[in-house]
Amino acid sequence: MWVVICGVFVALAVAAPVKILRTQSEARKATKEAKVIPVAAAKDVTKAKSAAATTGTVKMYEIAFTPKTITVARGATVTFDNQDTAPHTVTDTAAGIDSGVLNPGQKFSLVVTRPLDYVCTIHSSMHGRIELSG
Amino acid sequence: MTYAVDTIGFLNRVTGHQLLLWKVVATTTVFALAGLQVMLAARFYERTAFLGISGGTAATLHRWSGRVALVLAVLVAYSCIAGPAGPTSPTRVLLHSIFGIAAFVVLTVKFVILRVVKGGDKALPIAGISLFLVFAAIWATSVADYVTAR
Repeated sequence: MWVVICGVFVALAVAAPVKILRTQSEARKATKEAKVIPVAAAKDVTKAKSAAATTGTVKMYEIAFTPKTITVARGATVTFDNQDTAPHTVTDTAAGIDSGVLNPGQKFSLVVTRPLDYVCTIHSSMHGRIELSG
Repeated sequence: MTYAVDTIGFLNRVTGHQLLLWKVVATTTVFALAGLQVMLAARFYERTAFLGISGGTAATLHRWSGRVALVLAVLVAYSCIAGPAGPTSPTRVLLHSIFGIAAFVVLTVKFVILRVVKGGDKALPIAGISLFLVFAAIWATSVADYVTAR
């Protein structure tokens, strides 16, 4: 029994560096190839019918949203671009919006009709805010 | 990679999208149990009269609290490796990964000392204290960040 337990310990101790190396390798490869990934279908926050007045982009990189606070016009389309080596989410702290898991290279867009505080549910330190101008 | 992400999606759903909170609770429990382990070991090594319990009771409690801590530690480690593990920045994340790997290396060494090395029990206190310090470092580089981020 203890051999099996030790096997689990060893597997976990080996799996972590393997995943780190693989993730770093994939990130280097993605940077080299500089693929353009199509934007996912925009999700309407509150069923707003108005077209996007402006646009904004929030980058996900090194376990952070950049910029942390973005100000856009009501109805603007904000795109979240995961340029990190880790999966992230864009989740409304007041509930309602959840991008689901965005793998490295994936994007998520939404039409903003109200101020929004959001977090990444995978990484607690990642949080940001969308403010409306005017 | 896809399998890992799906696993995290599943865990997120079954925890009502509170996976991180569950991990925080489990990690804190492991850290607390690791501290208890050291105190119980000190009791049955007769370095202290902790809580006035007998050495035998301390040894039994040490074994069972250790089993609970190990199950929780394995579950948390799996959810970390299947999910967010990979990035090496910022420094906190890199350190968290290093300490996480170190925990299972020390655990393996401790089990080998226990089961294979004759007379290795002299090294067990060192392995046990190392394990507690590694769990403390894991807690500091994860839960502390979770708490301060709120």
